[in-house]
Amino acid sequence: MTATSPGPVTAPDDASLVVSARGGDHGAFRTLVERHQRKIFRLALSMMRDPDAARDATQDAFVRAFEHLADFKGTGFYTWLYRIAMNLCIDRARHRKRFVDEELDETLPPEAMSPAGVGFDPARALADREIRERILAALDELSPPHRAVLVLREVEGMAYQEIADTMGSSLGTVMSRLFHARKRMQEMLRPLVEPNVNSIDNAAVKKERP
Amino acid sequence: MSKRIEQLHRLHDGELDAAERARVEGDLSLDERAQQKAIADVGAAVRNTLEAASEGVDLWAGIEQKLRATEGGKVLPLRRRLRTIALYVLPALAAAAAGIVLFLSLGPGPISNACDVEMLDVAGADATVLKVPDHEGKGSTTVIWTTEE
Repeated sequence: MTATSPGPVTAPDDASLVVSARGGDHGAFRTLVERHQRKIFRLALSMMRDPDAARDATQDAFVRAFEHLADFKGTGFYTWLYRIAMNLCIDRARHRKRFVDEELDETLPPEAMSPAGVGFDPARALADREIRERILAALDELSPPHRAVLVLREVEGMAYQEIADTMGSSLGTVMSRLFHARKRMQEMLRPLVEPNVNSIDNAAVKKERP
Repeated sequence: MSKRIEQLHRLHDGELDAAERARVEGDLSLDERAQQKAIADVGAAVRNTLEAASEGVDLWAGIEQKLRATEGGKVLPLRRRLRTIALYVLPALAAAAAGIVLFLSLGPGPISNACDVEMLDVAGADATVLKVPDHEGKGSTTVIWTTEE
């Protein structure tokens, strides 16, 4: 007796799922959600800090994307979706908290990273909830665009040009924001291992200006 | 922006071409190597935090609920509502008006009572037979009305 194997099942790509979803196919849209929800949630969480607010923002970003599927042209659904989510999160983050514009002044040249590092093993963030809370608190001190650039680069692994396209910024702005954000994060994470500083929130608001 | 600082970040991010990468890597001081490690640590801390926090996230149920709510109670902008009225409602009203006019002009004339009525006895029921002539007098319609006892 011979049996024929069905062969590998290829998952439909984003573009064909978008076509089906445009016709009102919730099943196709569900596949898109399941494919991208974690990435969008990570971005939202980095922007909102509060997991419930991040969930809500992620859901709203997908609903907004569904409603505007007709406007989607091209092949980069992920980048398009990211742009929707990021704009939504930046808006909400701005409403939630007033940011001092000069906090990370991009006209100043970025400082070099301290060779002292962050002072702890970053792998601790995987297991230690308190460390994660503090890292989220530090992220929260960055302005929304700085946070977004850092997350797009470090978490989503986007190239500078992709980040620039997603954010509608110039390459120079992306680099400047990324370098400032890294430096600032390093400064804010160091109190995690310094015994005399109780809270990263306190350390974060201290601003050193030349 | 300091050229050297830019080079160090771009080196870490894989944004240098092969030749420039080799040149910068070959030229790294001990401090700069430590800075590379610091850049990597900041990235890993952020990445690990967000990876762990997003573990097992499933938002479809909430998204589907919002989609249904949006689709069910969609409020159209005024311009779209007016366009809908112009495209669908007005033609429907015009067609209905034309139908009424046609019915009134071509429909049956006044009802006549000039009909034959005949009573029948059938098993277990009374029957009334009505023969109603049409208004032009060319034909008629017969109606049999039964009432069970």
